Amino acid sequence: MEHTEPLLSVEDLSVDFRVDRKTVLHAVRNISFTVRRGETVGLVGESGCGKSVTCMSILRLNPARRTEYPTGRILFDGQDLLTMPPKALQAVRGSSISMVFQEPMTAMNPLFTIGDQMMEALRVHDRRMEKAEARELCLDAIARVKIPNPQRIFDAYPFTLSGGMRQRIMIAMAMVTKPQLLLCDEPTTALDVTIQAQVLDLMNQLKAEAGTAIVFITHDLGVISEMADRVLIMYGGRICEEAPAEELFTHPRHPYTMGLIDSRPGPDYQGDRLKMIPGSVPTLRDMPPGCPFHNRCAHASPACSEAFPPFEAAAPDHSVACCRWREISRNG
Amino acid sequence: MGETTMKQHGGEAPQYFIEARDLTMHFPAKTNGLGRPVSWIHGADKVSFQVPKGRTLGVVGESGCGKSTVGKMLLNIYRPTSGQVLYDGRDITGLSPRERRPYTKKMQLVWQDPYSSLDPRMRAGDIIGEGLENFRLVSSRAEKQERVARLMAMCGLMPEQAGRYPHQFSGGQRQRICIARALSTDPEFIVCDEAVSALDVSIQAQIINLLKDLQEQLSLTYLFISHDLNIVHFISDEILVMYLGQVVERGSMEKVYRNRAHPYTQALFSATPAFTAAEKAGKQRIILEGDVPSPVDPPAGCRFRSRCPYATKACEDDPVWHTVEDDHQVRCHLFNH
Repeated sequence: MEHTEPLLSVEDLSVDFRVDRKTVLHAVRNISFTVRRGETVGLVGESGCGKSVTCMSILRLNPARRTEYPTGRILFDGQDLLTMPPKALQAVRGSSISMVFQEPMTAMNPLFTIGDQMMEALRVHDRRMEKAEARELCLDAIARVKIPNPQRIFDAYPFTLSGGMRQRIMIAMAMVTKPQLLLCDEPTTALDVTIQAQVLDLMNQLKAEAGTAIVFITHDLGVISEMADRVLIMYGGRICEEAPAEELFTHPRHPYTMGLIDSRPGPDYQGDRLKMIPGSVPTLRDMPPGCPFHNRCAHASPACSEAFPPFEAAAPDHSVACCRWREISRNG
Repeated sequence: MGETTMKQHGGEAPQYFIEARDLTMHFPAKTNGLGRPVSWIHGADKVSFQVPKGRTLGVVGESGCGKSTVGKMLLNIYRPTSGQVLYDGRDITGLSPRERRPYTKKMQLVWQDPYSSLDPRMRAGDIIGEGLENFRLVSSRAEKQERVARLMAMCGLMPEQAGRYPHQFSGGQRQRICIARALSTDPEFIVCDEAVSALDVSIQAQIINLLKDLQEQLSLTYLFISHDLNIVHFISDEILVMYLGQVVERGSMEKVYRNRAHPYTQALFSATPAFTAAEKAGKQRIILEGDVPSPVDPPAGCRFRSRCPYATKACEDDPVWHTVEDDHQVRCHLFNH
């Protein structure tokens, strides 16, 4: 397989949730992005922007009876995950693509030991694997996430571990099958900053060793700039800007991205008040037409409420969906 | 150690608005067969600080370090095991409920979670007006409505929405309701316990600006508890860094920020992710090993020593306060000489 070809490519994906006969909520609308091998792509946005739904769609983990995918494809290694038969999809889940969830306590079964839960992932995908072999692999994976005394943790129950330890176990569990793609949905949001620093550091090391590609979801711009190679900014179910991390934070083009960056007080921020984005994050039920950000945007023009603007390249690898980006951009 | 003698400016007693003296809170952890506690969770140990009127004291630290415990002791939600809370120079610990009442009115709290801290079955107007009725600050229904409308307008809410229920508001608006409720009794002191942590980034800035506006208008004094150092840095005049129930460093926000003395403060600040190249440059990342130890019967000595990169034999003794510079103290053996 050629290495220039993306590992995952999401093309024109839309996700709808059917609430009742009349109501359909458009959680994600016409988004496209790719993830290359060994790359970390950050998905940033506020609550309800569709970042988790996007991530869940990759493994088709959205509630099946209510979810519709009206448009789009999700190609992983050349196969469309959206149309894949359930059995084939089951073989992908947890083996080629793994997921780390936000809340490490609720993502584990409290009734089984860490070892049981980890070995299950291995033995589901390879039924001929001996228990002893699975155990070795798990102990190795636990040691890799820098937990002292893997033997003891292997036989421990989740409730006996601290939050940081549990999240490391989640990562070990996700990595034990040596996936090509790791989906991380706010993996450090529930952790303290010093523990978050440990976990982020660990993830970067594992990524460098195993070459795993990561899709990293967060609302924390600081975390994303330390983790991601490329960043997608989402708002109201749409991607509004995509750029390499460094470029995005130094030359934001979309007014929403600028607003997000400005509303966070930096350490050297001078001034008495923070710059803020007026209004509140729209819910799926009252999503404005056209560009979903237009009613909070200081630069909105009448055209903004009519149609979602097309993506334009602001720089190499940097695209923005705003019809006025040229007029409002700073730093030339 | 006489920690209360820490901050004396040449004999004259400085007038602080809120003062904590050696506040200690021990919760029973395990009991013997007779129901007597045999071990204690040290929620807070000898926490002392002073806040001048109209200023903001930020309290930072990781979960379980006792920041909320301190806030709750100030408000008498927890009765401290020992120590005193002084309100405008008067000791208000151990007052009877009746004596306490005027202080309850003057000291309010904004909680972290605007979803669970509002009664879902009460209308916004009644939530905000409950304190008014409780303290008999209004004599008629019309007066209550008028006061509620004014409070709502002050907090950036539309007074017409007083009849709505909490679920009809967004997270940011709900936090505004919480703030309006806290302001209803004309408080002078407000504890903001992670008041913006549950909000979206774009909404956090709005609420912080609101808190700052209100502080200017009403000359409020804040105790601002948060784990987000950037926000604490922005809003606070002074800071208290806590670790496992103890204060390890305190002083003026700018001085502590420019010259972090305690190894824990250094690690905490360096763990906060930076995102611009300018912030990343010149920043050395200190990654601490291990987790915060258990607060049940912690050993004597510096509590940070199990994770401290500079720990020595001396750290097994209790560290004492050292002055780094004017208005900036640290509690660490590294400053012994």
